[in-house]
Amino acid sequence: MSTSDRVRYALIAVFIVAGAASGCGAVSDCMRYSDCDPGLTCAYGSCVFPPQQDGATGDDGNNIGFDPGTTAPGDSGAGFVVSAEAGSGFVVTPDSGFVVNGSGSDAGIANTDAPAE
Amino acid sequence: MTVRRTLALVLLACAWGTRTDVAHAQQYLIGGSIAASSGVEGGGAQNALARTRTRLRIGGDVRIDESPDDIFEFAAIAEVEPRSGFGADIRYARAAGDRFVVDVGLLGIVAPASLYGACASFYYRLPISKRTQIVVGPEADFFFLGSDLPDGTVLWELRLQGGLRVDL
Repeated sequence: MSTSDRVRYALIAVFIVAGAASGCGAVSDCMRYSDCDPGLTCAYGSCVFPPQQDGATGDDGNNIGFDPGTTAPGDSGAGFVVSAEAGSGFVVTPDSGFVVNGSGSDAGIANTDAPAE
Repeated sequence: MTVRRTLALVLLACAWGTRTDVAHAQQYLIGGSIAASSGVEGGGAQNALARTRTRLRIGGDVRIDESPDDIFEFAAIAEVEPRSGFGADIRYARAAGDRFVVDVGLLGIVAPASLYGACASFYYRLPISKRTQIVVGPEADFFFLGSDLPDGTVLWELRLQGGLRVDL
């Protein structure tokens, strides 16, 4: 086998491995903080709003019932972290790996990937 | 008389020193290279995968003629898409035959946020002229320090790089 053939086979193997690797597993939005837009942070492979330290409020300014950064039990028993940004919706980051990123009224939870009971 | 003798000795020394058949000790051999790479990256709590940033690497290598298989490499690296970043790396490379080279080293991204780790690569040099080669091969990077890395995360990257190298 000539050297050029070996190189050709090595390159083909690399492409196959890379292609297989990119096709397997969950696709992540971010691996590094700098993968996210300014104002967002990387958590659980997704770009989310960073937890706020002040009170969690909905669009109407009322407290929505969770304190930012606190952990509450989910349906499966896994906890999730709720953070809120006044007037711009809120972000729920569950420990079990799903992310709920909502906006609008405090009752509007969009993009819910939470597992059903 | 003494001046003439001294001048003659100096001229003789200069003539001896410029002889082409006299060996010079430890001549440095320098090369320059430019390459681009991309691939997949993973790590983190979910061990998810993503396409890694495309990177440009512009660097050089130095070796001495007495030990041409031991190579010191250094380079500036720039991540160009989908996000930008800038850094540098240093590597020790070992020629494995005429055309194959393996290297290990340290690399770091310093802007816009820091990221530090280790790298290893293997590449093939395909000569296209007396002093120029095409280089191609895989590279593995592991990042475990830096402000750009979420806590407890080790980020790995598997890249395929290709470029051009010139003996200067």
